[in-house]
Amino acid sequence: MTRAHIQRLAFGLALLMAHGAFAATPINESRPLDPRGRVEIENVKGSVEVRAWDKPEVKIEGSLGEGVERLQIEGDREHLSIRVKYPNRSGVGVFGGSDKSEPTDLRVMVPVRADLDIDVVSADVNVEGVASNELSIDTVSGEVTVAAAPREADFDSVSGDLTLTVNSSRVSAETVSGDLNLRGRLDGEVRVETVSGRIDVSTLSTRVQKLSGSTVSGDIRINTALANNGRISLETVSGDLDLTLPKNLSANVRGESFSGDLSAPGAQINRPKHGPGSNFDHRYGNGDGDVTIESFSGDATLRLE
Amino acid sequence: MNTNHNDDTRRDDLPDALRWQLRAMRRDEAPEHDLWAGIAQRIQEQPRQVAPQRPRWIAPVALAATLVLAVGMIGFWRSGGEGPAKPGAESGQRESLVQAEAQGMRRQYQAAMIEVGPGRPPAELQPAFDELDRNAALILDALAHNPDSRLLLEQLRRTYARRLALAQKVAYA
Repeated sequence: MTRAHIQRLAFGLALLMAHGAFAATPINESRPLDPRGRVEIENVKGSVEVRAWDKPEVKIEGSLGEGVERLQIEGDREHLSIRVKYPNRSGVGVFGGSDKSEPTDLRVMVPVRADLDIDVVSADVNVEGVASNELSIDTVSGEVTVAAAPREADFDSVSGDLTLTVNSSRVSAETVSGDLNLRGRLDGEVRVETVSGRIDVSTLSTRVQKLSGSTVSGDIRINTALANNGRISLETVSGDLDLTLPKNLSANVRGESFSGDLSAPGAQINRPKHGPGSNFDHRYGNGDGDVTIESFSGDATLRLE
Repeated sequence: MNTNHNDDTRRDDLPDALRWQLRAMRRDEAPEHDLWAGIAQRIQEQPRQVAPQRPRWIAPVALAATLVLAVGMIGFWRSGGEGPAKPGAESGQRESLVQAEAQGMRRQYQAAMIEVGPGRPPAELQPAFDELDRNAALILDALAHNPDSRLLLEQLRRTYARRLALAQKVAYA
């Protein structure tokens, strides 16, 4: 490539970048919000980044993509909604491949205790630092990354991965094919569910009261501890299931599989002489809690560490 | 997005599956009248020609169909579908019940999908629909090997419900 070619290429690239910079409309808005108010954010594509601060105010920055109708901000000090509005089009709306609007990037500062409800399609979501009563994120294909301490958290994705580090007393997360990675101080209820995505849950120095996990073909890996009289219920059709609990476990553990291999320390695996299937029922410690692991064809393993 | 955080006791009384169903329908509007009669009639018919335009009543019909799946499961639990296998005649009864429930659920789901999603889903969601279909087929295949499985029946219901919910989402969008 000659020097002239490189110069022309660089000039073209610069023009393209300049065009992109001018096409996107900068956003710089602020609204007052009660410290425990509620913020709803909707953005189809692009990104949503949320950070927390101590001010009773919501600040919205970023850039509105070309072709987007407007940024709609409505509500009052108790309830604020921020929506990226698209022009009305025929077809299947926000899912339509004919949508030519450019991605919109939102950076939002919210009061640290404000409830948060985020709804996106393909936009990536990144939330850090909020300690709200409720946190809810709904996505189709966007990646979701959260590091927060909401009292209750609810995540729903179709194909986007969920990477969650939360300190919460109640967490519910589900996907169709997206992977689900959940970490944090989880001492209450945890519900994780995918169809074919992989589930990986690890609680840090906390004991869950109730944990339920389910997949059809995705693998499940759980590393946790069980509260007194707590319950864990895991099931999969063809995925492998791996549950790790502390050595001082006090629970009655039951396992069942149609054609998968079962494994549990010290447990007698029963296999009927005639017909398929295997199961076990074993008491660890005083048997205070209740644990069930069940599969159709996937392997199910209990480990004590 | 939970709609009722104030009544934890009542929420805990609901089966997880039903709670999931209710959550999936949180933005729906209730149908103005009982639509199940129409759906039931269509179950008996051959799949009809796909209409090019999606009519306005799709959402209520989808809601009714989803309700049917949920109510069907409640009926199954209450009729003794849950619990360990029992020997002898009872075991035979339960096996046929699971199979019948799975077949009924499949027919209801297919009828609902005819109403909800006659067209192709948007390209970006096609992999998700394919994945759901693949997993539903996997469960049905597993049920053929183990027709007495409560686990598989519940997984089938969840997978169908999830696909219906996704189709509804597209319809609303």
